[in-house]
Amino acid sequence: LKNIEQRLHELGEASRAKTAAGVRATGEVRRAVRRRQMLIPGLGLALVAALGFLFIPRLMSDDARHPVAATSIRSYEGSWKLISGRDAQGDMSLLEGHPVTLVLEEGRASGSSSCNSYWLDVDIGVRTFATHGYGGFITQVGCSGDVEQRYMAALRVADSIGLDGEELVIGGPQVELVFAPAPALADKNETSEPAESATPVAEAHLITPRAGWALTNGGDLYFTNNTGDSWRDVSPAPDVQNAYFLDDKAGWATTFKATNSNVAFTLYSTTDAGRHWRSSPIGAPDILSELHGPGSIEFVDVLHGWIALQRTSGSAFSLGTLFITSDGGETWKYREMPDYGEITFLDRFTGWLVGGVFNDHLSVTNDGGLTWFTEHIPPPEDLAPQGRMTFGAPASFGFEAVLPVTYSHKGADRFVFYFSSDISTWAPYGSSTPVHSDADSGLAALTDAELSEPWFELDRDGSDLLVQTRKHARHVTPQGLPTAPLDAVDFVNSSTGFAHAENTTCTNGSDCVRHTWLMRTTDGGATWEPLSI
Amino acid sequence: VTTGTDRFDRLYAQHSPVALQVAYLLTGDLATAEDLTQEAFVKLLSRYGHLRKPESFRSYLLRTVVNLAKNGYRSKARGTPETVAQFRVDPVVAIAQRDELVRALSQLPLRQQTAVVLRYCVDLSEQQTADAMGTSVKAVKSLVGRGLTRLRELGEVTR
Repeated sequence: LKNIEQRLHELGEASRAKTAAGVRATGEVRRAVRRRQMLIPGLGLALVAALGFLFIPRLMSDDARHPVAATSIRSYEGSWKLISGRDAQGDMSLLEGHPVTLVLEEGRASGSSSCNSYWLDVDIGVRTFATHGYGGFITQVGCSGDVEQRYMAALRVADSIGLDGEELVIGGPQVELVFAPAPALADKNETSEPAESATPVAEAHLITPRAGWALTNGGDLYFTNNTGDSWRDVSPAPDVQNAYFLDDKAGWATTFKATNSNVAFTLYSTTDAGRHWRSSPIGAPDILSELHGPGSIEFVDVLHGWIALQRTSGSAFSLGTLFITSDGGETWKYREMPDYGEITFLDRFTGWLVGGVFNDHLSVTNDGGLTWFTEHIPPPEDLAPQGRMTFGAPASFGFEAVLPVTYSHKGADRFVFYFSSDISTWAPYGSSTPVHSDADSGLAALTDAELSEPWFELDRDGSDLLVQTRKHARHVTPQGLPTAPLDAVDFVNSSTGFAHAENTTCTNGSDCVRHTWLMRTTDGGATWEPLSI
Repeated sequence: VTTGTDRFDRLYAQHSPVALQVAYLLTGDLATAEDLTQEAFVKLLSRYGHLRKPESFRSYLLRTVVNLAKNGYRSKARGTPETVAQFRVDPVVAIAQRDELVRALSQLPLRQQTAVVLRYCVDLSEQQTADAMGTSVKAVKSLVGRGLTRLRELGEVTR
């Protein structure tokens, strides 16, 4: 029997063969190419300058959308936000903070005209749009600018409707209104996204309720002493790949540079929260060429530390090498890891490794990382034994430990905490909670300072936060989180934590930019505010 | 002299096969995939000058294809149940009648299906898959892992 990965690969090959010739560019694409030629900077300007006003109507029409009719008018129903408007006078100047919105329901259009709430009776077909009757305003506020008047006038003369990618386009004689989906309007007032960090953040952690550190996508290391209100750059060198702080003073950072002729792997250590750093090269050049970062790093005291680095391999493998020091980084031993993954050490001897291609393999070491054994976790009794488990990093305090587990079976994913009172035998703790089938992940944040404090689990979009304690579980609905998927939550105690979210957005469906949010809560996850570095 | 048309012809020739493959695997219908690929190119070519990194054309293109496929799926999913059934089962006929894998793939939640297709059928890296889906590498890992688990289960059921 072929494994599923192999069959998927064969499916890819078959589909590739069938589509290898691509698709012949139709007239529409050719026209888009020709339009693009006219708009090439310089050439476009020269043409406009040479032909003057003759070209203006043409350029306007070139920018027009090419919406397609939906298969059902129900595709148009929902909440939308105006992102551009045009009429005979030209482009409408939309006012920041005063969005124009449209909620389409059967026979009815309503929304905000930027300063007043309006409604209109409408007839919608798969291609046609018409208003009838007079409609009206629910509020009567004086508006600055002419957006309201022009928008309402455009809606009244519009006669067509369609979709351009995810955007809704309503058009008519000399008018074009383009809307982006705004699902948040459907059942509540529009909530704005929190501000993203000025500098894109890769990860951020709190060490104490006030002290924390963050690593940016650009490889700069920052430290805070006021829970993220302000940050100072403590980078020991450019392009920091990974960092770890044991407390609010002692920390480590690594840089890893590989060129064709040279590999340099360096550890930096500080004992004054990054004001001064000491560097020491890490040896083992014979295997460094197979490694690539960023890896994970952890110390349990100023002498005993580990660095896990991933080895280059195919998508079906997850290989790693573990660097081990017991003298503060002066000398290193290195060992093969059973899988590459995140390491968590309880003390200088005992640690866990969550690895495998899908974080589906949990290993344990009792000799400081020299040898590893598979940790067998029994499936929850109330769930079928054939399911598959994926793990988050465990947290431990004394001889007690908590392990976050996502259990998948027959398309139904459930999240459950496992608890160990002897750091070796694990059992489900509390009942499992469902994870939405299309969610990105079941995230867990464990306060490893003391396990009597809450453990947290967050679903993909932050719509529900489970706070699990030794005694009971409760759900809260957090406010203020971005709609982007959260990929890390990190609590330092029962009230204070960071969350990290990341996504890529495409302006007008094409120009894609990566965004990151660093969020803070001080009330146990009920409300969140954005931080910026 | 390289003209704009030459440049775009080259982009088109270079990238339309992978765009079509992704569209085909996500929609399960070659004609739909061709339309979708055309539409993705029209959207991108008309905004090429505004792309922050024109050298990342392929990433932009795949992202647009994924978004359009998602939108197409959403449009159809809002239609009658018959429409949904036809759309979701169609790959079985279109690609490989004998292979339950295609049917199982079409039964995955859309984001899991997209992640598995991009990662294993199109051989994108985790980062490229995350870029095309507008999400993080961690999320891709989770979606692919759960998608494969479900595919294995569905395979056992049909075997």
